[in-house]
Amino acid sequence: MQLKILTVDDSRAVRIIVRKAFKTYNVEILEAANGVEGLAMAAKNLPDLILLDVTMPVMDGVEMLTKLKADPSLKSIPVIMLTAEAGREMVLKIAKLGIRDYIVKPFKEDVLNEKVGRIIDLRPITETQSKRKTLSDPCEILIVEDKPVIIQQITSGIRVPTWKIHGVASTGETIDYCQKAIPDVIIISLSLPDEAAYTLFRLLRSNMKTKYVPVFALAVKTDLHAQQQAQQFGFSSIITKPIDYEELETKVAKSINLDTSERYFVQESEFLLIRLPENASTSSVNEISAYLKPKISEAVDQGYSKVIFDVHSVRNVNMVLIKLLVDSMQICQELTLSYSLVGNPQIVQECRGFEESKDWKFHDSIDQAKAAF
Amino acid sequence: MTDDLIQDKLPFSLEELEGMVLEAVVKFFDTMVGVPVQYEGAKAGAGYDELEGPPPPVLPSTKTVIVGMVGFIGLMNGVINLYMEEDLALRLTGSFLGMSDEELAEDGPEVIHDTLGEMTNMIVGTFKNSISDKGFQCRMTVPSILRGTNFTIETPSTVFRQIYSFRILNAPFIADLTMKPGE
Repeated sequence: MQLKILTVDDSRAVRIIVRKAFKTYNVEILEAANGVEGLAMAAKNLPDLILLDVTMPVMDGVEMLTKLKADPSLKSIPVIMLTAEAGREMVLKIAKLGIRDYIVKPFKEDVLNEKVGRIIDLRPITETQSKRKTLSDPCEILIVEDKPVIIQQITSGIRVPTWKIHGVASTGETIDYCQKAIPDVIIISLSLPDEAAYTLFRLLRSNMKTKYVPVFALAVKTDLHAQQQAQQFGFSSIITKPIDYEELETKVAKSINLDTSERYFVQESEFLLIRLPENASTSSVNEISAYLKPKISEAVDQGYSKVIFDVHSVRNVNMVLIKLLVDSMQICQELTLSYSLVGNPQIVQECRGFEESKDWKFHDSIDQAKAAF
Repeated sequence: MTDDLIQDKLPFSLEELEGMVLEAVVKFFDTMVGVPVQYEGAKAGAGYDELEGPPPPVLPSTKTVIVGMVGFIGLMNGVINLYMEEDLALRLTGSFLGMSDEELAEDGPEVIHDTLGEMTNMIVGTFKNSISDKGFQCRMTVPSILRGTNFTIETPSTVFRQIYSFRILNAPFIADLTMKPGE
């Protein structure tokens, strides 16, 4: 998860310099030009750190800091003062208000990076990018549910062999577990007694270690009120019972920015194979769409000139799937790639029902499609 | 102006003031821009009531001149005006922000003025911190920018005024300091 730094300075030049200083790090820089804007941005985005100037119009840094420290939801955000006002008296005054550090202007970029790096976990962009996990990497999912049968069902339902499921039954057990290991995703049942799901969610979000761990709510499909409440509370996503495991896997993968392309894109010796899933739901089609252009371009880069779309596993043809295939074919045409489709009699029949796909020709197998090129 | 004369106006020697101004200017360019600064000396600035006829411009030039101004108020009151030609202002802004000429042109003059304001703020801030640390607490004003050709900024002879000349990137750069004790 990308960290956020809020720079509050009336000088655009300083904000540009701050942005430049963190260009190579995996942080998002938010900007505000005075204390009023700074407080609003802080409340909206809950940054991990604030770099705060002292002398500003509208509301100066000292006043903003005072208001920030008086707000229970914002007071824990660490603040570094970045100021040309560095007389002893001023430094003592702002130190009393509870800043983590101060940097006197003019400053070297290295000093800024070092002082910020002491407070938040600064990571270079290349490091975070190269560490992007795939489906082959281990992933730990913690389920907080007091009914063992549900934990058992989820453990059996998840088909990715590298994902490990751990089950705990209460808030206390969750906290104990997270002190030993940070899971990649936490799923909390909303049916825990005494609204414990919400209390636990708050605890997880207030802890620096679990602040950025995606937390899903597990609710009964028909309990729309609970789902709405969980959404308002800020849960990362909602999983409904009975569980659609394909959807659950897609949501988990998305929340931890997992590269799932290997599930759909396979580079065979002579062609790129694009496998469409059994359940062509909107979320899985969106997932494939996101990979479509980069994966086809990557294949072209590596010398591939043929693409096979394998649709034979798809249970039901719908408009979302048709649109995906139309877009894919268009990309192939733009890149002058040959392509063919593999389906079954039921798919052929269903495709005839849509204007866009009524004339599509399908092969019965991948070998047939290969031979037809 | 001699130290005897300055004692009437300020609790600092000329040498102390020169040291503080030099430190502020050199520290800024060394830290934020990475360019060397050549110091060429100081001279007393005249008050408008001491001159016969119009005062000469602080930075005589046929080009557009930009001045960054930041004041300080408190136990010591004053202002430092930093003079430079527009060409130098543009080059310093590019180096300070790490932006190309094309990027600066896209952003328009606002970004140059903002940068010069911040540059003046940092230089005057370092100077002000030095006098604050000597027991004269002050606060800084917000920066302002003046641009034009063939103009003068005048002060009365009752306040101390000293003009410090530098060369940066082979162009003139002037720090014009005016100050007097606070009420």
